[in-house]
Formats: sequence, C-alpha cells, structure tokens
Amino acid sequence: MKSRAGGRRAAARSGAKRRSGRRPVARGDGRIRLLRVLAVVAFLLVGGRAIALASSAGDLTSIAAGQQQSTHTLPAHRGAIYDRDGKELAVGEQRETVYATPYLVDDPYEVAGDLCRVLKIRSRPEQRRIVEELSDKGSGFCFIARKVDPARAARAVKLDIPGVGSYAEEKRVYPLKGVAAQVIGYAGIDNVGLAGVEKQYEATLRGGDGSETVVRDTEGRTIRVLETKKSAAGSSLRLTIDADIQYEAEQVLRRTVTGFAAKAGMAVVLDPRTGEVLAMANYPLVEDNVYGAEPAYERNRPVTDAYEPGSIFKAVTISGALSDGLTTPRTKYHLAPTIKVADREIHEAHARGSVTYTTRDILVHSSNVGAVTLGLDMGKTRLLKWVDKFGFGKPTGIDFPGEVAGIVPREWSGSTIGNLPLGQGIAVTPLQMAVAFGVLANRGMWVQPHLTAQIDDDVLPRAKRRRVVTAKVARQMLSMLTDAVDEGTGTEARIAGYKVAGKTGTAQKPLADGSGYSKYAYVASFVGVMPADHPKLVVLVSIDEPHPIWGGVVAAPAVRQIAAFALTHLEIAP
Amino acid sequence: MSGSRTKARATELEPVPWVNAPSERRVRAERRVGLERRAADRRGARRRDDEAAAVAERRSGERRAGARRVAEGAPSAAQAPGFVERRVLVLATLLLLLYGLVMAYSASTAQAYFTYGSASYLLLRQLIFAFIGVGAMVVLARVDYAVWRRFAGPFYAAAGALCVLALVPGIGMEIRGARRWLDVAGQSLQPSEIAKLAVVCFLAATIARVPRTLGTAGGFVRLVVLGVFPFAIVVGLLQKDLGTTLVLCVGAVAVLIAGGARWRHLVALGLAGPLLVGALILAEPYRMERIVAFIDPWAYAQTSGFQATQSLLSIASGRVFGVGLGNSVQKFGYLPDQTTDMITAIIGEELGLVGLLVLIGLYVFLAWSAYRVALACREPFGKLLAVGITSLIVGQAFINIGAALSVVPLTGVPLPLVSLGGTSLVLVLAGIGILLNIATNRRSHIVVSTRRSDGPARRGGDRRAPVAGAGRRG
Repeated sequence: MKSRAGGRRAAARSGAKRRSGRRPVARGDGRIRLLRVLAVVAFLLVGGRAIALASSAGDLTSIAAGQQQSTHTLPAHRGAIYDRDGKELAVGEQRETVYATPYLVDDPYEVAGDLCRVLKIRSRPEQRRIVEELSDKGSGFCFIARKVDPARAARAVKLDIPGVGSYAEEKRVYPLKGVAAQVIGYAGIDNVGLAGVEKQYEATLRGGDGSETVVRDTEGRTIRVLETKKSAAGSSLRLTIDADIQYEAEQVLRRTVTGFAAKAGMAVVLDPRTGEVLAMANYPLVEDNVYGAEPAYERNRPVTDAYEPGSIFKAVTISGALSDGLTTPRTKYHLAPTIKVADREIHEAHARGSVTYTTRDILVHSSNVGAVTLGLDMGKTRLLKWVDKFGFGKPTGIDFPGEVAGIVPREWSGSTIGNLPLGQGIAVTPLQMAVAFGVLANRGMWVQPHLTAQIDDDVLPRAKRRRVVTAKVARQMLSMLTDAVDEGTGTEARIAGYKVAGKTGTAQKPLADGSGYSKYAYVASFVGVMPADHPKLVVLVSIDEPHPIWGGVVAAPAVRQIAAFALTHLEIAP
Repeated sequence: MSGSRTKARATELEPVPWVNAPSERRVRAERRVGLERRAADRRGARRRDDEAAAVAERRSGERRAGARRVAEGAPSAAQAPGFVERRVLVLATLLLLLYGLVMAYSASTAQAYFTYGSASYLLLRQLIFAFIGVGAMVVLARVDYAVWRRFAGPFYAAAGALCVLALVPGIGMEIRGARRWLDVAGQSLQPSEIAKLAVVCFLAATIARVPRTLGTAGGFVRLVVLGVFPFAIVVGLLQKDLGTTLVLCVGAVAVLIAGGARWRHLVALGLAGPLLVGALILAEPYRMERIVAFIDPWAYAQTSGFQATQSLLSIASGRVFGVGLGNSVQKFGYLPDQTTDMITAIIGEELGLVGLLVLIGLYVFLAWSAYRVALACREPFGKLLAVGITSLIVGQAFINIGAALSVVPLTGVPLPLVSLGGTSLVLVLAGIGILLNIATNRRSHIVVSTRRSDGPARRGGDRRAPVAGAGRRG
C-alpha cells in the first residue's frame, strides 16, 4: 500500500516535471470536479424527489386539504309564522354565537373572565362551564355564548383572543310573548321545530341549509372561501289563527279559571264554513314562550287530550235520531224521574218529577233520561254510526302534531247504551266536539279543521268536507240549540243582538283507577254557534274542575265573552 | 514578456506544490521556492503592467488589466479568465436573490401582518439586508482576496469569540431556548454564520501555507482538531445548532478534499461522524426523535415529525404548477419557520414542482459556475477558498431543500439567498463577492497566462490547451 502510493507519487512527480506541472493541478482539479459532480448529483436527487412527490401527491393533497379546509353549514333563514292578518307570531332574529378554541387558550380563567364580562354572562354555573371547557386542551371548539346580541358578540371578538370567534345564527323569537304558545310550539336552540306548528311544518319552515367551504389558518381565521352553497330560506306560514281572538280567548280562560278556582281551561274558536281554527287557547298559559315549567300544560290540549264531553254530546245523539227519522223535534216522550239501564240508574242533573218532554225539551233542558230514551230507541249500531259520522274516534286530521283519536267504545257492556247518549264512556277532543257542532252550523257538512291558511304565496286549497246530516236536520238542531241558550241551560251564553245556539256540558271526570266517576271533579263545557241563523263561528270552552261545576254557569259566560269579542272583531252582522 | 518567461520557468521547475507532499525536505524547499515565486509573481505582474499599453495603464483596474491580458492571447474578450464564471455566478446569485425576495415576501406577509401590523414589514427588512449584502458583494469583489489569507487567523479567532459571546447570558439573545444570536444595534446577528466563512478561510489559508502537512495523518488530525472541532463544539453542542454545524462540516470537508487530504483520512473522519452524531444524541435526546421522525415522519406527524410532514404536505399541495404565488395556505401557521428553514416548502406549494425545479436549477448553475471559479483559479489559497465558500452555499442549499423533501433530516438551516434572515443573506452575498474576486483576480490566472505566453514558443498545437484546462473545461 505504502510502496504503491509512493510509486504513484513518484510517477506524479516525474509527470509533473515532464508536463509543466499540469498533473498535480489537474489532480486537485479532479477532486474539485468530484465535489462539483457530487453537488449536481445531490441536487438531482432532491429534484427527483420533488418530481416523485409531485406525481404522487394525491393522498398528501387531501390530507393538506383536510387540515386547512373546513365546511360549515350556512343555516337557512327559518320561515316566519304569521297570524291570519299577518301579525308576526314567530320570526327569526339575527344573532351571533361566540365560540372559542380551547387549545389556543393559555389562561382559561383570564379568558373566561374577559369574555363573561364583555358578554355579560353573570350566572355562576355558566361561568364555571366556560372555564371548564376552556381548560380542556384536547378540545378544538366550545361555545361561549349562543345567539347573543351581535353588537355584544362583536365586542367579544374584538378582545382579539386567539381562537375566539363568532358566527351568525338565527334565534327564534315570538313577538307576542306567549300568545298561542301551545299552538305555535317552539324551535329549539338549533332552530329545529320541537312542538306545535313549528314541528308540524318543520320541513316547510326550515328551508335548505347552505354550506361554505373555507380555508382557515391555524387560529381559525378564514383565509378564503372556496365554495359557497347558498341556503334556501324556509317558507313562511300564515295561520288561520287570529291573534286578537286568540289573546282574548286566553284572557277569558285566565279569568274563568281563576274566577272559578279551576285547574285548567281550553277554548276553540272555529269558522264552521271553512274549518279554519281562529283560536285555540290553553290555560295555564306558557308565558313568553318559556317552556319546561309545566309540561302537562304545554301541550295544545284541544288537539292532544281527549276527555268525556258529557251533555254536549247529546246534540250528536239527537242529530242521529232525527236523521234516522226516529224522532222529530216535536215528538213527545214521557219521562220518569230516573231510568234504569242494566245495573245502572240514570238520574237527571237536577231532580224533577215525571214530565212529558218533546225532543226539543230534552235538548233544551239537557235531560239525561230523555237522551237515554232516545239512545235506547236508536240502539248500538245506529249510535255508533252517528258517532263515527260526526268524526269521533278518529283524528280530525288537523295539521298539528300529536293529535289523538279519542276513544269510542266498540265492545259494549249492558250499561253502555245508558252512558253514551249522554257523552259518558266516550272520550273526544275539544276540537272534535267543536267540529261536530261545526257540522250543525254548516248545514250538515263536516269540514276538516286546519291551522294554516297560506304557505308563502300559496293559499291552501279548500278543506276536505263531507256531508254528515241533512241541512234540514242541521237547521232543526240549531233551532233547538238556540232555545237551549234562550231558555234552557245555556242562558249565560246569550249575546245581545245575536242569536246564539249552544249546548252545555257538565261531565263527571272518570276516576284514575277506572272504577267509576268522581263525585267532585267535573269538566264544565259549553259550545256555542253564532249567529244561529247564519252561523259564522263555533266557540267551545271547557273548564277543568271548576267550582261550581256547571257548564252553564262556568263555560257559557266564557263562550259569550269570547264570541262577543270575535263577532265584533270579525265584524259579523247579527 | 521576459518577466513572464522567468516566472514560467520557475513554475516549470517547481510543480504547483500544494497537492502532493512527498517529503518534509521537499516541503521546506518548496515553501522557500514558493515564497520566491510569489515574490516573482508580484514582480512579474508589475513588469507586465509596465509593458501594457498606455491606455490600459490609465484604466488599470486590476480586473480590467487581467481581462486585457487574456485578450492578448485569446480570440475574444468573452474568454477572458473568470468572465463566464463571473457572469453566470452573478446571474444565478441575483436570480436567487430576487426569487428569495419574492418568496420571502409571499411567505412572510401573514406573519408580518399579524405580528407587526404591516404585511410588507419583513420584506422591507429583507430588502435592507439585500442592499447591504449586494453592497458587500460588490465591495468584496474588488478587494484582493489575499486579504483573507493574511487575516485568516484573526478572522478565525474573532468568529470564535463571537460564537462564545453569543452563549453568554445577557449578551447573547435567547430565542426558543437556544443561544445563537448577538444583539447588535437591535438586530440579531448569528455569529455562527460568520464562523462558517472563518473556518473555511482558516483551513484554506493553512493548507495553502503548509500544503504537504495535510498529506500526513498528524497534519490532517491537527487541521481537523484546530479548524473544525472548536466550532463543532461551540455551535453544535453549546448553541445546539446542528444545521449550521453540518453546513460548516460540509464546507470544511470540501476544503480538505480539494486540499489534497488522503482519502483514508477522510474515510476515517467520515466513520468518526456517526460517533459524533451519537454524542450529540446523548447530549440532547430530542435529536433521536428527530432521526426516528426522519425515517418515518408520518408516524410522528403530530410530534417530532410535524415540521417534516407539514413540509411534505405543502409541497404536495403545490403539485406541478403550484397553488399560485401568494396563495399558500400552509404559511398561515401550519408550517413552522415558513420564512426561513421551510421557505422551500412554501415555494413548492405556491409555485409547484416547476418552482422547485427552477430553484434547484438556479443552485446547480450557481454550484457549477462557483466550482468553475475554483477550477480556474491557479493559486492554492484562492482555489481552496473558492471550494470552501461554494461548498458552504451549495451544501446549505442541499440540506435545506433536502430537509423540506425529507431527503435529509431536519436540522434547520436557512436557504442561502432565499430565506428571510439578515446575517445569512449578507454573509452569503459577501462570500459570493469573494468568489467573484477569485474569479477575476490576476493572482488566480498567473500560471495560465505565463503558460500561454510560453506555449507558442514551444509548439503551436498545444497553444490553447492550458487555457481550456483552466477556463473553459473547468
């Protein structure tokens, strides 16, 4: 090795001598050339790597896009809900939601303190929640405050805390502060209808959410918008509800329920000709649309709850008997003080001696014995036929979620024939009852009730209708029911200048254990049709457990007050 | 011409002596003769200048005189020694500088805007440094590079002192846990950048002065221990700046190779390298993570492989033509050090493969022409200094681009001429200024010119061969 190297050196030396010293210089140059080649090879290597990377970038590009881009929904404007005159019942209001990015927050206490001060978050648990969520370093998102005033949100964003931002959200507000709350229902924090009309027409109101794909920096700031899919605003609804009548009905219920120490009350105002529900009131009210306090009373009970109607139902029995030609308004019946059916003895509400009543008298004085007598004449089949024809036992099909069918007994015991004609042993909804009276008010035609008049610009088609009784029977019934108001049980419902037809009902509430009826708990009802000779309104009021119990005393004045207001408000001539 | 002949004879008698080192006696003799030759060089040069035309005399810049001298024997001025190299070198440098300013602006806008409130803040800073750097380049291109040989020792000592000074708390600035910077009039100065030049300069000067010692094991070790180790320890171990150390080693080893170090010594040094790396890993365990992350960056994408994977994502998003100048998304916080160590990735993202290949191509041009300067130079110190400076720049560019592409481990060095960063830019431009001086300094071409004037007298056929060997072929 050493000798060989030495030899080479010697050769180099002699070569150098021979050729003017070029050899050693050339050898040094050879090494520099080698370095130069190395440099070029190194750059070729990285160049090749760059080419390889560019030609197989697919996966990496999508990973890059995944970390840089985010797609968020652009919530659609939720359609407003108006009453029949265009008053706003439910509208979307522009708000801002403030959020934070916990892993970008260094000092959760300080940041939470600043944000709570600016956003005026004063509730201790809420402040604690914010600190807790900000302390979670693994988290990339948390809400600070949802749907706050845009100006306030802007102040929070202006604090310039890394990762704190806001986005627009719509908050559902109910300008009438609880009027028709149970009918309208509500939309939750995510603007999804959770009850009432809001739920029923969710798809219509909601519209189509848009989306926006943006490129963000690591602090969540939008650098540019890649793609925007515009949201399609939801359709607005115009209800058949008249906010003024609704308000009046609710106030009348309030007075009635408190005045008679009752538990609750319901009212339905219906236009019998069209099936339009003008008002559907519940008491207790849901003040300011704040839900969750008393879930039992947050339902729209005229649709969702069935009850035993009591004497009001006699109108159905008698309409059936008239239609089947089993009786006429003038047909006379000799009635004992009581009547025994199977194991049960039926009494009158107010004890009396034996009397001779026409069918008209039976209705006017609401005779239990008389109604049972007529029921016995009709028999099970006929009675059930008319129960069905008037639409009991099945939902009316109103555009409202959670409507119940009510209960119509199909398996009869011996005493059923003594119950049903009086409106016992059958469960109906107040709406079904109001619609049944609508049949009588609308010359025998049943019209499907509904709450919506118009979606955006589309006026909804005429409601479904079918004949139940002849116009003659309807006229006879109204005539008899007018007498009931003028001289019978419903005198409290008289309205000066108007002819009012109506029927009282004072129903014992069935006991919870199903063993019979309560001796103390009653439901007092009254249905009125007005004006009786050209009916434009059906008004039903039903008061739960009032004191006194009588429909004529408790419910009839309430109907009068509501109807009087409605007639004036709607400018209906006597 | 007689002076030239005298010189040429001397050269013929004594082969340029800095490559092989047969014996100590010879070394001493040659050193003696070398000194005489240098004296003769100076005399000869002066005499040639005397002989030159009066017009040339009046315009006698050193550079012009050199060019004219060649023009006498060469067919055209374009073949003046160093002319082409200088052209290409200046062109590649200015193109890279321009490229860098554009990209540094693009990459720094977001950071500048959010930190300083003005999108162009960092660009303006960089522009100022670019002017300083170009000024330094122009000045140094006119300063006889022999200065660097004369002051190699003091320069080396001063750079070492500055590096140590940066470590002293209170004087050195601490950024992200590392002490590498000095605060000079509000600007941070990175002494290790100066150290790179100083080491290369020192090695070149030492080898040029005592060429034969490099051939012996003792001389080699002495040179490495004296010239490289102090800075490797200060910069690599104490300042924890592995990247700069790596670049420094590349430059130093290049000088050793070109200076004629024996391959077996170099191989031994190369084998010692892993030991050094092992020691560095023992000193800072996080470096092990870096190396593991280099082997499989995606397995550590959220930790030690974060920067490497983000860099690959950036480049991949650029595909062939890039997402467009200024449109990088990765620069918005996804890619750390986007204006300095990772500027390559931003180039890849915004300008795509095309942009990267242009960048690499520019460096190839730079490397080619800069090594040509070294090849063309006939004077040992100039040759070695040129090799050293070129290798520093080229090596750093490769380490930077390679890291962005995960070809080499991430160590964090700026891309010369392109990345944001004042010290680096000014010193790289200064280095290129030195290269330019080496390219055209008549000192570099003395051997060539004498031989050429001597050639025709001997045989016409060989007339241009040495010129080609010195100028064109290199």
